[in-house]
Amino acid sequence: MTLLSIARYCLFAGMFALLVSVTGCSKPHREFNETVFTMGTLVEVTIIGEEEAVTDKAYAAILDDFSYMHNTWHPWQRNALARLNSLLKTGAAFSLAPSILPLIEHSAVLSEKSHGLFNPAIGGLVKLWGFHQDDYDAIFSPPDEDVIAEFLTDLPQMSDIEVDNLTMYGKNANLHLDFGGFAKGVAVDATIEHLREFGIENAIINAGGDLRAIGKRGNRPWRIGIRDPRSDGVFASIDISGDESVFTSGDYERYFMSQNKRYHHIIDPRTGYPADQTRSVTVVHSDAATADAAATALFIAGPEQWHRIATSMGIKFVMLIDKAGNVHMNPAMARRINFTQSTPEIILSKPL
Amino acid sequence: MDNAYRIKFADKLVFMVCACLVGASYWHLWSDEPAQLAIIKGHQSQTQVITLHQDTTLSVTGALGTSSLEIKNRQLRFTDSPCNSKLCIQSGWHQRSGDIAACLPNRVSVQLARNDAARDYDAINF
Repeated sequence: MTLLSIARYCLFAGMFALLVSVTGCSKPHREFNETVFTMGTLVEVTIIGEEEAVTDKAYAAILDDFSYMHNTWHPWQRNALARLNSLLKTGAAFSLAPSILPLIEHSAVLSEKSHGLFNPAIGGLVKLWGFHQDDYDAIFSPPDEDVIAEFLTDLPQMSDIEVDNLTMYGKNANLHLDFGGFAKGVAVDATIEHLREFGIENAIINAGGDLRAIGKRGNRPWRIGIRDPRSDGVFASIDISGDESVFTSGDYERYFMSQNKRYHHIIDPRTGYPADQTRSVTVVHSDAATADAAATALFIAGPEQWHRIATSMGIKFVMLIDKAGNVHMNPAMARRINFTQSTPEIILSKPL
Repeated sequence: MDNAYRIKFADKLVFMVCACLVGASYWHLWSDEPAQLAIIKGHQSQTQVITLHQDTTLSVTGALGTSSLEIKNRQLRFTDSPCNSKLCIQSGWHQRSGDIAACLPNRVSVQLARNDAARDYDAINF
Protein backbone atom coordinates (compact mmCIF):
# COMPACT_ATOMS: atom_id res chain seq x y z
CA MET A 1 0.00 0.00 0.00
CA THR A 2 1.43 3.31 -1.02
CA LEU A 3 1.55 6.40 1.11
CA LEU A 4 -1.00 8.02 -1.20
CA SER A 5 -3.46 5.14 -0.68
CA ILE A 6 -3.10 5.39 3.10
CA ALA A 7 -3.76 9.12 2.90
CA ARG A 8 -6.88 8.46 0.83
CA TYR A 9 -8.18 5.89 3.36
CA CYS A 10 -7.54 8.34 6.21
CA LEU A 11 -9.35 11.11 4.36
CA PHE A 12 -12.31 8.81 3.64
CA ALA A 13 -12.46 7.63 7.28
CA GLY A 14 -12.31 11.22 8.51
CA MET A 15 -15.13 12.33 6.23
CA PHE A 16 -17.24 9.31 7.28
CA ALA A 17 -16.73 10.16 10.96
CA LEU A 18 -17.69 13.77 10.28
CA LEU A 19 -20.84 12.65 8.46
CA VAL A 20 -21.85 10.37 11.33
CA SER A 21 -21.30 13.11 13.91
CA VAL A 22 -23.29 15.65 11.90
CA THR A 23 -26.14 13.17 11.43
CA GLY A 24 -26.10 12.46 15.15
CA CYS A 25 -26.32 16.15 15.96
CA SER A 26 -29.37 16.58 13.76
CA LYS A 27 -31.52 14.26 15.91
CA PRO A 28 -30.95 15.20 19.54
CA HIS A 29 -34.10 13.69 21.00
CA ARG A 30 -36.67 11.01 20.34
CA GLU A 31 -40.11 12.34 19.45
CA PHE A 32 -43.50 10.67 19.68
CA ASN A 33 -46.43 12.29 17.88
CA GLU A 34 -49.92 10.87 17.41
CA THR A 35 -53.30 12.44 16.70
CA VAL A 36 -56.70 10.99 17.48
CA PHE A 37 -60.26 12.24 17.10
CA THR A 38 -61.88 12.16 20.53
CA MET A 39 -64.08 14.38 22.71
CA GLY A 40 -65.42 15.96 19.55
CA THR A 41 -62.05 17.24 18.45
CA LEU A 42 -58.59 16.27 17.22
CA VAL A 43 -56.25 15.56 20.11
CA GLU A 44 -52.54 15.68 19.31
CA VAL A 45 -50.08 14.11 21.73
CA THR A 46 -46.38 15.00 21.52
CA ILE A 47 -43.83 13.41 23.83
CA ILE A 48 -40.13 14.16 23.73
CA GLY A 49 -37.17 12.10 24.87
CA GLU A 50 -38.82 8.87 26.01
CA GLU A 51 -38.35 5.26 24.96
CA GLU A 52 -40.89 3.87 22.51
CA ALA A 53 -42.09 1.24 24.98
CA VAL A 54 -42.95 3.96 27.50
CA THR A 55 -44.69 6.28 25.04
CA ASP A 56 -46.74 3.46 23.53
CA LYS A 57 -48.04 2.40 26.95
CA ALA A 58 -48.69 5.98 28.03
CA TYR A 59 -50.50 6.82 24.81
CA ALA A 60 -52.71 3.75 25.10
CA ALA A 61 -53.54 4.70 28.68
CA ILE A 62 -54.55 8.27 27.87
CA LEU A 63 -56.63 7.09 24.91
CA ASP A 64 -58.60 5.05 27.43
CA ASP A 65 -58.88 8.16 29.62
CA PHE A 66 -60.20 10.26 26.76
CA SER A 67 -62.63 7.56 25.71
CA TYR A 68 -64.02 7.26 29.24
CA MET A 69 -64.40 11.03 29.68
CA HIS A 70 -65.93 11.44 26.24
CA ASN A 71 -68.51 8.74 26.90
CA THR A 72 -69.33 9.99 30.40
CA TRP A 73 -69.44 13.74 29.85
CA HIS A 74 -70.70 14.09 26.27
CA PRO A 75 -73.43 16.76 26.49
CA TRP A 76 -76.07 15.19 24.24
CA GLN A 77 -75.49 11.45 24.15
CA ARG A 78 -77.15 8.83 26.36
CA ASN A 79 -74.72 8.58 29.24
CA ALA A 80 -74.27 9.32 32.94
CA LEU A 81 -74.54 13.08 32.35
CA ALA A 82 -77.83 12.67 30.45
CA ARG A 83 -79.25 10.63 33.34
CA LEU A 84 -78.11 13.26 35.84
CA ASN A 85 -79.64 16.07 33.76
CA SER A 86 -82.99 14.31 33.57
CA LEU A 87 -83.00 13.84 37.37
CA LEU A 88 -81.89 17.41 38.17
CA LYS A 89 -84.97 18.82 36.43
CA THR A 90 -87.31 16.82 38.67
CA GLY A 91 -86.13 18.43 41.90
CA ALA A 92 -86.14 15.04 43.61
CA ALA A 93 -83.07 13.80 45.50
CA PHE A 94 -81.05 11.04 43.83
CA SER A 95 -77.81 9.22 44.54
CA LEU A 96 -74.59 11.04 43.69
CA ALA A 97 -73.01 10.46 40.29
CA PRO A 98 -69.36 9.82 41.24
CA SER A 99 -68.12 10.18 37.65
CA ILE A 100 -69.55 13.71 37.38
CA LEU A 101 -69.46 15.07 40.94
CA PRO A 102 -65.82 16.32 40.66
CA LEU A 103 -66.79 18.32 37.55
CA ILE A 104 -69.82 19.79 39.29
CA GLU A 105 -67.86 20.85 42.38
CA HIS A 106 -64.90 22.24 40.45
CA SER A 107 -66.98 24.09 37.87
CA ALA A 108 -69.27 25.53 40.57
CA VAL A 109 -66.27 27.22 42.21
CA LEU A 110 -65.07 28.62 38.87
CA SER A 111 -68.58 29.72 37.93
CA GLU A 112 -68.87 31.72 41.13
CA LYS A 113 -65.45 33.32 40.60
CA SER A 114 -66.47 34.27 37.05
CA HIS A 115 -69.56 36.03 38.43
CA GLY A 116 -71.72 33.53 36.55
CA LEU A 117 -70.27 34.24 33.09
CA PHE A 118 -68.87 30.73 32.95
CA ASN A 119 -72.07 28.82 33.61
CA PRO A 120 -72.26 25.09 32.77
CA ALA A 121 -75.85 25.03 34.08
CA ILE A 122 -77.24 26.69 30.92
CA GLY A 123 -77.06 23.59 28.75
CA GLY A 124 -80.78 24.08 28.08
CA LEU A 125 -80.05 27.45 26.49
CA VAL A 126 -77.23 26.01 24.39
CA LYS A 127 -79.64 23.30 23.29
CA LEU A 128 -82.25 25.93 22.36
CA TRP A 129 -79.67 27.45 20.04
CA GLY A 130 -79.27 24.07 18.34
CA PHE A 131 -75.69 23.37 19.38
CA HIS A 132 -76.57 20.02 20.96
CA GLN A 133 -76.21 18.11 17.72
CA ASP A 134 -73.38 16.89 15.55
CA ASP A 135 -74.40 18.67 12.37
CA TYR A 136 -74.34 22.46 12.68
CA ASP A 137 -75.19 22.71 8.99
CA ALA A 138 -78.68 21.62 10.02
CA ILE A 139 -79.25 24.76 12.12
CA PHE A 140 -80.99 27.39 10.05
CA SER A 141 -82.18 30.09 12.43
CA PRO A 142 -81.82 31.34 16.02
CA PRO A 143 -84.54 30.50 18.55
CA ASP A 144 -87.52 32.83 19.05
CA GLU A 145 -86.88 35.88 21.22
CA ASP A 146 -89.80 34.91 23.48
CA VAL A 147 -88.34 31.48 24.15
CA ILE A 148 -85.00 32.98 25.15
CA ALA A 149 -86.66 35.63 27.33
CA GLU A 150 -88.70 32.98 29.11
CA PHE A 151 -85.58 30.91 29.79
CA LEU A 152 -83.82 33.96 31.28
CA THR A 153 -86.64 34.59 33.76
CA ASP A 154 -85.49 31.50 35.64
CA LEU A 155 -81.81 31.31 34.69
CA PRO A 156 -80.20 28.23 36.27
CA GLN A 157 -76.90 28.55 38.15
CA MET A 158 -74.46 25.98 39.46
CA SER A 159 -75.56 27.02 42.94
CA ASP A 160 -78.98 25.51 42.10
CA ILE A 161 -77.42 22.08 42.59
CA GLU A 162 -77.47 20.89 46.20
CA VAL A 163 -75.21 18.08 47.36
CA ASP A 164 -76.33 16.51 50.62
CA ASN A 165 -74.19 13.66 51.91
CA LEU A 166 -74.71 10.87 49.39
CA THR A 167 -77.51 12.49 47.45
CA MET A 168 -77.97 15.52 45.24
CA TYR A 169 -80.93 17.41 43.79
CA GLY A 170 -81.70 20.36 41.59
CA LYS A 171 -83.55 23.53 42.59
CA ASN A 172 -84.31 24.82 39.09
CA ALA A 173 -86.33 23.06 36.41
CA ASN A 174 -84.16 24.66 33.71
CA LEU A 175 -80.99 23.00 35.02
CA HIS A 176 -79.16 21.17 32.26
CA LEU A 177 -75.42 20.69 32.66
CA ASP A 178 -73.18 21.17 29.62
CA PHE A 179 -69.45 21.04 30.36
CA GLY A 180 -68.49 22.09 26.84
CA GLY A 181 -66.41 25.02 28.10
CA PHE A 182 -64.67 22.98 30.76
CA ALA A 183 -64.51 19.21 30.10
CA LYS A 184 -61.73 19.54 27.54
CA GLY A 185 -59.56 21.36 30.07
CA VAL A 186 -60.30 18.77 32.76
CA ALA A 187 -59.46 15.99 30.29
CA VAL A 188 -56.16 17.64 29.36
CA ASP A 189 -55.24 18.01 33.05
CA ALA A 190 -56.11 14.38 33.79
CA THR A 191 -54.13 13.00 30.86
CA ILE A 192 -51.09 15.18 31.59
CA GLU A 193 -51.10 13.80 35.14
CA HIS A 194 -51.37 10.30 33.71
CA LEU A 195 -48.36 10.92 31.46
CA ARG A 196 -46.40 12.05 34.52
CA GLU A 197 -47.24 8.77 36.26
CA PHE A 198 -45.37 7.07 33.42
CA GLY A 199 -42.35 9.26 34.18
CA ILE A 200 -42.88 11.51 31.15
CA GLU A 201 -41.56 15.01 31.77
CA ASN A 202 -41.70 16.70 28.35
CA ALA A 203 -45.01 16.61 26.50
CA ILE A 204 -47.85 18.57 24.93
CA ILE A 205 -51.47 17.49 24.82
CA ASN A 206 -53.21 19.67 22.27
CA ALA A 207 -56.98 19.12 22.29
CA GLY A 208 -58.39 20.89 19.28
CA GLY A 209 -56.04 23.84 19.62
CA ASP A 210 -56.23 24.13 23.41
CA LEU A 211 -53.25 22.66 25.15
CA ARG A 212 -51.13 22.05 28.19
CA ALA A 213 -47.36 21.71 27.86
CA ILE A 214 -44.95 20.31 30.43
CA GLY A 215 -41.17 20.44 30.42
CA LYS A 216 -39.35 21.60 27.31
CA ARG A 217 -38.69 20.59 23.75
CA GLY A 218 -35.08 19.50 23.95
CA ASN A 219 -33.02 22.47 25.01
CA ARG A 220 -35.62 25.14 24.26
CA PRO A 221 -39.12 26.06 25.48
CA TRP A 222 -42.24 24.86 23.70
CA ARG A 223 -43.17 27.40 21.05
CA ILE A 224 -46.93 27.91 20.61
CA GLY A 225 -48.48 29.76 17.69
CA ILE A 226 -51.79 31.55 18.32
CA ARG A 227 -54.23 31.59 15.41
CA ASP A 228 -55.46 34.80 13.88
CA PRO A 229 -59.24 34.89 14.57
CA ARG A 230 -59.95 36.17 11.06
CA SER A 231 -57.61 34.01 8.98
CA ASP A 232 -55.87 30.65 9.06
CA GLY A 233 -52.53 32.29 9.77
CA VAL A 234 -50.60 32.60 13.00
CA PHE A 235 -51.19 35.91 14.74
CA ALA A 236 -48.74 35.71 17.61
CA SER A 237 -46.61 33.24 19.51
CA ILE A 238 -45.71 32.47 23.08
CA ASP A 239 -43.01 30.30 24.65
CA ILE A 240 -44.02 27.82 27.32
CA SER A 241 -41.72 25.96 29.66
CA GLY A 242 -42.30 24.17 32.92
CA ASP A 243 -46.02 23.55 33.07
CA GLU A 244 -48.59 25.86 31.53
CA SER A 245 -51.85 25.69 29.59
CA VAL A 246 -52.83 27.90 26.66
CA PHE A 247 -56.56 28.07 25.91
CA THR A 248 -58.35 30.24 23.37
CA SER A 249 -62.08 30.82 22.90
CA GLY A 250 -63.09 32.31 19.56
CA ASP A 251 -66.21 33.17 17.60
CA TYR A 252 -64.89 31.15 14.63
CA GLU A 253 -64.99 27.70 16.26
CA ARG A 254 -68.60 26.50 16.11
CA TYR A 255 -71.24 28.59 14.46
CA PHE A 256 -74.03 28.71 11.92
CA MET A 257 -75.06 31.43 9.47
CA SER A 258 -78.58 32.84 9.30
CA GLN A 259 -79.52 35.79 7.08
CA ASN A 260 -75.83 36.61 6.61
CA LYS A 261 -75.24 36.80 10.34
CA ARG A 262 -72.92 34.49 12.24
CA TYR A 263 -74.22 32.87 15.42
CA HIS A 264 -71.47 31.15 17.40
CA HIS A 265 -71.68 28.75 20.34
CA ILE A 266 -70.48 30.93 23.24
CA ILE A 267 -73.77 32.07 24.76
CA ASP A 268 -73.88 35.00 27.18
CA PRO A 269 -76.04 33.85 30.12
CA ARG A 270 -77.04 37.47 30.79
CA THR A 271 -78.62 38.01 27.36
CA GLY A 272 -79.30 34.50 26.08
CA TYR A 273 -77.52 35.37 22.82
CA PRO A 274 -73.98 34.67 21.54
CA ALA A 275 -71.52 37.12 23.14
CA ASP A 276 -70.81 39.74 20.48
CA GLN A 277 -68.07 42.02 21.80
CA THR A 278 -65.11 39.68 21.29
CA ARG A 279 -63.38 37.82 18.47
CA SER A 280 -61.10 35.70 20.65
CA VAL A 281 -59.55 35.42 24.09
CA THR A 282 -56.31 33.61 24.90
CA VAL A 283 -55.59 32.64 28.49
CA VAL A 284 -52.33 31.20 29.87
CA HIS A 285 -52.66 29.49 33.23
CA SER A 286 -51.15 26.62 35.17
CA ASP A 287 -54.06 24.19 34.96
CA ALA A 288 -56.07 23.58 31.81
CA ALA A 289 -59.50 23.34 33.47
CA THR A 290 -59.27 26.87 34.89
CA ALA A 291 -57.81 28.18 31.62
CA ASP A 292 -60.71 26.62 29.70
CA ALA A 293 -63.38 28.10 31.97
CA ALA A 294 -61.63 31.48 32.07
CA ALA A 295 -61.34 31.69 28.28
CA THR A 296 -65.12 31.24 28.03
CA ALA A 297 -65.88 33.71 30.84
CA LEU A 298 -63.50 36.42 29.54
CA PHE A 299 -64.86 36.04 26.00
CA ILE A 300 -68.34 36.79 27.35
CA ALA A 301 -67.03 39.57 29.61
CA GLY A 302 -65.65 41.41 26.57
CA PRO A 303 -63.23 44.35 26.43
CA GLU A 304 -64.93 46.32 29.20
CA GLN A 305 -65.09 43.67 31.91
CA TRP A 306 -62.43 41.05 31.18
CA HIS A 307 -59.92 42.51 33.64
CA ARG A 308 -62.37 42.37 36.55
CA ILE A 309 -63.32 38.77 35.81
CA ALA A 310 -59.71 37.68 35.24
CA THR A 311 -58.75 39.19 38.60
CA SER A 312 -61.58 37.35 40.28
CA MET A 313 -60.58 34.04 38.67
CA GLY A 314 -56.87 34.42 39.51
CA ILE A 315 -55.73 34.59 35.87
CA LYS A 316 -52.36 36.27 35.24
CA PHE A 317 -51.99 36.21 31.43
CA VAL A 318 -54.75 37.35 29.03
CA MET A 319 -54.94 38.53 25.43
CA LEU A 320 -58.36 39.61 24.13
CA ILE A 321 -59.14 40.68 20.58
CA ASP A 322 -62.35 42.67 20.53
CA LYS A 323 -64.93 42.81 17.73
CA ALA A 324 -63.13 45.75 16.10
CA GLY A 325 -59.81 43.90 16.09
CA ASN A 326 -58.21 45.87 18.93
CA VAL A 327 -55.80 43.83 21.06
CA HIS A 328 -56.21 44.08 24.84
CA MET A 329 -53.59 42.61 27.19
CA ASN A 330 -52.26 42.85 30.69
CA PRO A 331 -48.59 43.96 30.90
CA ALA A 332 -47.26 40.53 31.92
CA MET A 333 -48.89 38.95 28.85
CA ALA A 334 -47.55 41.72 26.61
CA ARG A 335 -44.00 40.86 27.75
CA ARG A 336 -44.45 37.24 26.68
CA ILE A 337 -46.32 37.60 23.38
CA ASN A 338 -44.42 37.86 20.10
CA PHE A 339 -46.36 39.06 17.08
CA THR A 340 -45.50 37.22 13.90
CA GLN A 341 -46.20 40.07 11.51
CA SER A 342 -46.63 43.73 12.32
CA THR A 343 -47.21 44.58 15.95
CA PRO A 344 -50.79 45.79 16.39
CA GLU A 345 -51.76 48.65 18.62
CA ILE A 346 -52.13 47.18 22.08
CA ILE A 347 -54.50 48.43 24.74
CA LEU A 348 -52.65 47.66 27.95
CA SER A 349 -54.62 47.08 31.12
CA LYS A 350 -53.56 47.46 34.71
CA PRO A 351 -51.47 44.52 35.99
CA LEU A 352 -53.40 41.41 36.98
CA MET B 1 -33.51 30.60 -49.28
CA ASP B 2 -36.61 32.65 -49.98
CA ASN B 3 -36.87 35.69 -47.72
CA ALA B 4 -40.44 34.68 -46.87
CA TYR B 5 -39.11 31.65 -44.90
CA ARG B 6 -36.41 33.45 -42.98
CA ILE B 7 -36.84 34.01 -39.28
CA LYS B 8 -37.25 37.69 -38.67
CA PHE B 9 -36.91 39.79 -35.56
CA ALA B 10 -40.68 39.83 -34.97
CA ASP B 11 -40.76 36.01 -35.15
CA LYS B 12 -38.06 35.83 -32.51
CA LEU B 13 -39.98 38.30 -30.38
CA VAL B 14 -43.16 36.24 -30.63
CA PHE B 15 -41.22 33.08 -29.81
CA MET B 16 -39.63 34.74 -26.77
CA VAL B 17 -42.96 36.07 -25.50
CA CYS B 18 -44.54 32.64 -25.92
CA ALA B 19 -41.63 31.01 -24.11
CA CYS B 20 -41.97 33.52 -21.27
CA LEU B 21 -45.71 32.89 -21.08
CA VAL B 22 -45.22 29.12 -20.97
CA GLY B 23 -42.56 29.51 -18.29
CA ALA B 24 -44.70 31.85 -16.23
CA SER B 25 -47.71 29.54 -16.57
CA TYR B 26 -45.62 26.56 -15.48
CA TRP B 27 -44.32 28.50 -12.49
CA HIS B 28 -47.80 29.67 -11.58
CA LEU B 29 -49.63 26.40 -12.04
CA TRP B 30 -47.08 23.69 -11.45
CA SER B 31 -44.39 25.09 -9.20
CA ASP B 32 -44.03 23.00 -6.07
CA GLU B 33 -45.28 25.25 -3.27
CA PRO B 34 -45.31 22.89 -0.31
CA ALA B 35 -48.12 23.26 2.20
CA GLN B 36 -47.40 23.76 5.89
CA LEU B 37 -50.86 23.18 7.35
CA ALA B 38 -53.80 20.87 6.88
CA ILE B 39 -57.21 22.38 7.61
CA ILE B 40 -59.48 19.45 8.42
CA LYS B 41 -63.24 19.78 8.32
CA GLY B 42 -65.37 17.02 9.77
CA HIS B 43 -69.08 16.52 9.27
CA GLN B 44 -69.77 18.48 12.45
CA SER B 45 -68.64 21.71 10.78
CA GLN B 46 -65.69 21.75 13.14
CA THR B 47 -62.46 23.00 11.68
CA GLN B 48 -59.17 21.70 12.97
CA VAL B 49 -55.72 22.83 11.92
CA ILE B 50 -52.74 20.52 12.08
CA THR B 51 -49.16 21.07 11.02
CA LEU B 52 -47.66 18.90 8.26
CA HIS B 53 -44.23 19.08 9.83
CA GLN B 54 -44.76 16.10 12.08
CA ASP B 55 -45.41 12.61 10.73
CA THR B 56 -48.58 11.25 12.28
CA THR B 57 -51.73 9.28 11.63
CA LEU B 58 -55.16 10.53 12.59
CA SER B 59 -58.74 9.38 12.57
CA VAL B 60 -61.60 11.73 11.73
CA THR B 61 -65.17 10.74 12.45
CA GLY B 62 -67.45 11.51 9.54
CA ALA B 63 -71.09 10.99 8.68
CA LEU B 64 -70.58 7.31 7.74
CA GLY B 65 -67.77 6.37 10.07
CA THR B 66 -64.08 6.97 10.61
CA SER B 67 -61.72 8.17 7.89
CA SER B 68 -58.02 7.57 8.47
CA LEU B 69 -55.41 10.07 7.34
CA GLU B 70 -51.65 9.80 7.23
CA ILE B 71 -49.16 12.66 7.31
CA LYS B 72 -45.68 11.73 6.22
CA ASN B 73 -42.80 13.76 4.82
CA ARG B 74 -45.07 16.83 4.73
CA GLN B 75 -47.61 15.04 2.58
CA LEU B 76 -51.11 13.91 3.44
CA ARG B 77 -53.33 11.11 2.18
CA PHE B 78 -56.44 9.16 3.06
CA THR B 79 -55.52 5.61 4.04
CA ASP B 80 -58.97 4.32 4.93
CA SER B 81 -62.55 5.50 4.62
CA PRO B 82 -66.01 3.96 5.00
CA CYS B 83 -67.19 5.26 1.60
CA ASN B 84 -67.94 2.84 -1.27
CA SER B 85 -65.95 4.42 -4.07
CA LYS B 86 -62.68 4.93 -2.15
CA LEU B 87 -61.87 7.83 -4.49
CA CYS B 88 -60.37 9.71 -1.56
CA ILE B 89 -57.82 6.93 -1.05
CA GLN B 90 -57.13 6.59 -4.76
CA SER B 91 -56.32 10.30 -5.01
CA GLY B 92 -53.05 9.49 -3.25
CA TRP B 93 -50.65 11.91 -1.60
CA HIS B 94 -51.30 15.66 -1.41
CA GLN B 95 -48.59 18.16 -0.63
CA ARG B 96 -49.13 21.43 -2.47
CA SER B 97 -50.74 24.46 -0.92
CA GLY B 98 -54.32 24.66 -2.16
CA ASP B 99 -54.72 20.91 -2.64
CA ILE B 100 -57.99 19.54 -1.34
CA ALA B 101 -58.46 15.93 -0.31
CA ALA B 102 -62.03 14.99 0.47
CA CYS B 103 -64.28 12.08 1.17
CA LEU B 104 -67.63 13.56 0.20
CA PRO B 105 -69.83 10.64 1.29
CA ASN B 106 -68.25 10.75 4.74
CA ARG B 107 -68.26 14.58 4.76
CA VAL B 108 -64.60 14.86 5.68
CA SER B 109 -62.41 17.30 3.79
CA VAL B 110 -58.83 18.44 4.12
CA GLN B 111 -57.41 21.58 2.56
CA LEU B 112 -53.68 22.11 2.50
CA ALA B 113 -52.47 25.62 3.11
CA ARG B 114 -49.21 27.46 3.06
CA ASN B 115 -48.16 29.19 6.22
CA ASP B 116 -44.46 29.78 6.59
CA ALA B 117 -44.87 30.63 10.22
CA ALA B 118 -46.40 27.27 11.13
CA ARG B 119 -43.15 25.35 10.90
CA ASP B 120 -41.70 27.47 13.66
CA TYR B 121 -44.20 26.21 16.25
CA ASP B 122 -44.65 23.03 18.23
CA ALA B 123 -48.43 23.51 18.38
CA ILE B 124 -51.03 25.92 17.06
CA ASN B 125 -53.50 27.34 19.59
CA PHE B 126 -56.91 28.35 18.25
